[in-house]
Amino acid sequence: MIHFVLLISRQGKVRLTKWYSPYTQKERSKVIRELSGVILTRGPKLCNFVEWRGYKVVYKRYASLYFCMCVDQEDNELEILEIIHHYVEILDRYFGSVCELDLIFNFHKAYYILDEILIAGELQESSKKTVARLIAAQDSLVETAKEQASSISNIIAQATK
Amino acid sequence: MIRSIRACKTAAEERAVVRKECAAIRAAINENDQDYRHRNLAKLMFIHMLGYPTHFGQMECLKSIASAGFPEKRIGYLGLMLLLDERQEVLIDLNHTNQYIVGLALCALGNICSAEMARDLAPEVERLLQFRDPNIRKKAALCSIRIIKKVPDLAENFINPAAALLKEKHHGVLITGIQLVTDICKVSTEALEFFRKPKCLDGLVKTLRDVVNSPYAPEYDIAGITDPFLHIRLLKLLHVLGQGDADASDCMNDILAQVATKTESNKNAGNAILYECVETIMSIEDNGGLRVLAINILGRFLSNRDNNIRYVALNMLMKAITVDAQAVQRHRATILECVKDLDASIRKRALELVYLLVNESNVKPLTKELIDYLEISDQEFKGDLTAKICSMVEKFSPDKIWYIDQMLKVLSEAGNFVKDEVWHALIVVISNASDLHGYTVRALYRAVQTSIEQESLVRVAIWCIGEYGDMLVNNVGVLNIEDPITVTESDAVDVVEIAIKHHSSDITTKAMAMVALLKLSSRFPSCSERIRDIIVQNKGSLVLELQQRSIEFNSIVEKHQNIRSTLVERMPVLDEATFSGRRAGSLPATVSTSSGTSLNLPNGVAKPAAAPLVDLLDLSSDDAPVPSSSGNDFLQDLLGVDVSPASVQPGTSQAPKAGTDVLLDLLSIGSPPVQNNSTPSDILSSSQDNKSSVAILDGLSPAPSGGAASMIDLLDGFVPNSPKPEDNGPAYPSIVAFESSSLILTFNFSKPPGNPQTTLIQATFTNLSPNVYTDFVFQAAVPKFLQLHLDPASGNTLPASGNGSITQTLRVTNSQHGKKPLVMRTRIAYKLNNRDVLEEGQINNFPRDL
Repeated sequence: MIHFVLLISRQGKVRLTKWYSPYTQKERSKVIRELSGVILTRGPKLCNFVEWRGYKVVYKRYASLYFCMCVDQEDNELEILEIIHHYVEILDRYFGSVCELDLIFNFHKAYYILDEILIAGELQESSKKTVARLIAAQDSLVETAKEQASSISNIIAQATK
Repeated sequence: MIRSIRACKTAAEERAVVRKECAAIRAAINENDQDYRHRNLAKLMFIHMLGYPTHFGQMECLKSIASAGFPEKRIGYLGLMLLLDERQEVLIDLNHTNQYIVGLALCALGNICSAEMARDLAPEVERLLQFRDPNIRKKAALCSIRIIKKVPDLAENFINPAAALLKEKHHGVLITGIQLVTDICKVSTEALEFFRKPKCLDGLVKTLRDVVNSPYAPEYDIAGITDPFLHIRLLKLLHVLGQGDADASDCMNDILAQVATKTESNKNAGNAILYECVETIMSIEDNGGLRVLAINILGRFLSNRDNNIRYVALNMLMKAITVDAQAVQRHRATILECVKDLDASIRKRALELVYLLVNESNVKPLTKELIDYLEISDQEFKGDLTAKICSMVEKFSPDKIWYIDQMLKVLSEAGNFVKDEVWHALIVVISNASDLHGYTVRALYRAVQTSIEQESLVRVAIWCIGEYGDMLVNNVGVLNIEDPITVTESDAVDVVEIAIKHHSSDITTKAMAMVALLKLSSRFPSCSERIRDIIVQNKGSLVLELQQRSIEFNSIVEKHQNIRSTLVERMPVLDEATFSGRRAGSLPATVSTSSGTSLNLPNGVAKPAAAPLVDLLDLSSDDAPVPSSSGNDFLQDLLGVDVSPASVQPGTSQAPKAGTDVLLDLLSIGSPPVQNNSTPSDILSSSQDNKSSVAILDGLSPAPSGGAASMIDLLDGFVPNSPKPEDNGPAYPSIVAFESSSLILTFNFSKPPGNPQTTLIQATFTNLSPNVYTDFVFQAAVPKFLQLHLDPASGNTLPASGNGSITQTLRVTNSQHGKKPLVMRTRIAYKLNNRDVLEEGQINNFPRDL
């Protein structure tokens, strides 16, 4: 099972964190600090797996972002690499050629997408199309709700004028 | 807001902006502003991600979830998952009509639910497992996994719905369903049995076959393989089902072979599948052909250029060794190459793997390779590498000369990384290999010329030069493989002098060098003056140890010429078996012989390590007051008078005993020394303990009471003393073990420190009758969980009417220490007026916690 997902920039700034195991706030910040130190200092030619505190951390670097996932000892590291790539491809499709800025300004959308791919630390959906479809449907729900709200308040505003 | 935060140039600015925003949000919360609630929540989450505290927003989250609108709910759940952790209780609406909302709820539940929540909501989730929408079904499946992990008892409820999921067509649901089944099987054996039934298993195999053979499907294709995730999940499930069950394993053989052979391995996805396949093959019941296939795949991985693949292969090979060591041996060369890889984690793995592969036949070439690599490896790795090489060499060395050679090479190369116990062991071996003394000291002499900065090498060298300096100078025992070398006495002294004066020598080395000088001053009388000068230079040293030694040795050299030579006589051979026995606790790799079996040494004699050389110069130490007897004994010893064995009684004053007994030992008069009282401790730890280079062997000494006294000292024929026990552990009351009208047997107990299972018993026999007993023999028998060792008695004549007693030491090891008390059967035989008498008894009144 995946214990947590971490996205950090080259400078060590946290872009996204998702925890599937119980960690207190203090533990979380400690973990983030430690892992940032370990992963950011690794050279480019080294392998993508790090042994850390009895777990394995699989990380992959995409442009200026490091995508890290912490898994149990018995999990298949190569598969986790695939899952990371799966996520990145879906993000790419959704945002259209995604870059770090997209993830910064639309972090909530990044989370929604992650929630469609992983629950409780396990893979949920292996088809990119399905995930994209679901996210699109949910987005349209949001849109319609907003439109309704704005139209009603318009009406009320007009009425009370 | 995000833009404004990013525009901040300094941390202080950023803090200011965040503070303002938080204030605004707090105001909005207080006003219960509905419209912007979700925006505020989003802001809160961003702020939280930056690392600022956001507790005030938690209630907002809850309110947001409770509100009716979808956007609010969405953000509310996101906030919930992000800002709160598992320990918050939350109201969930799993029964909502909008499936996306149900999805949200399931997602949240899956990620953060606690055990109580799990119990309450499990029936709901179960129901949702059969919902019409596949989206909900898959979320419900993963949610169930979480529930089962939290509350394993509920696993049985999910077996049937999960089985239904296995027949799905939708990949998403299939994947999650398989994952659910895997987790159920891990938790409940009943489920495992259920899913192992051929009906289920065949269904799974069929599914896997379909996926493997399926044509190109653009939706699920990754790198040319259809849905590798599904492949891997199915293989994992087969792994769980096949492990330990031969029938199940049989069903899978075909499909596993097919996957193993047909999957393309040029892309990561393919390799991931192959990796999983190999894992599964290795864990299910044995099938020769498949295993060979698996190991071949691993071999291919090993030569792949991709670091990740090689890492993964090395990992798997470590597990494979337990299963099939032969096959892994074939890839030894490649693994050896990996030890030299650029990547640190690969090097580590490869080294561990090589270590597991070592056996008697390949130890020589492997060691050679590793030592060659040692020279070019980088600092962080050297530590690991030296440790492994040393333990390999120790375990598998075919003969002593090879061992010494390799160790010298390692010491010259990386002496600073070598642990203390390693070079202690080397010294023990050297001292045992008496025919190699000359060779060793010459080799060390040569090595030190080149590698003076390697501390351990220097230490071993000066010890050897001190001990065997005369062999060095006189070219004793030259083997035909050696080059001739002439070393003069002053050359040898030079080496030691350099060691003392060298800037990087630490206190241990200097102290050892001092002792070596003392020895040399006796062996090379011509250099005596020069040596004295060197020693005297340290008279004013700020380190107490060195100063003390310097003064004392100086006084020996100047005034006590007559005893000097006997003081520094050649050390007796050190007891290898004892040493390994003591080390066995700390180093798992070493051969461990229990100290009790020191009887079987190849050398024939188990001699205790010589107690500290310098203890006898107790003149300036503040040990416990010397008992009055020791003064006389000292003189008697010097004059060669036999010391009465019975005078040694186990007592509480131990330090002075050590002093005189050491003297006895060194002078080879009387019995081998009684225990060296000081427990193995750091050389420098006690400033009052004048320890010498010999003292480092405290780690080796003392011989167990069994070993020492049971052996007759090689150099004399006196009956050894009954050795006194080591430092007393917790005191145990002595018992009267056996009492008859004519004989009393008392036991006094003590425990050697650090070994709660062993007890030393001092048995005292007193004769109450008016007749003298002769040929007195005490025998004892113990049940299987005890080990008993009897030392020879102090004598075999028991004077009458309690005018004297015989003492004997027993050493009992209780493997059921704490669970069963000691018991013993005794048989005492003696002659009374030339009539044989036999008394038997059983001792049951041992203190309980021995």
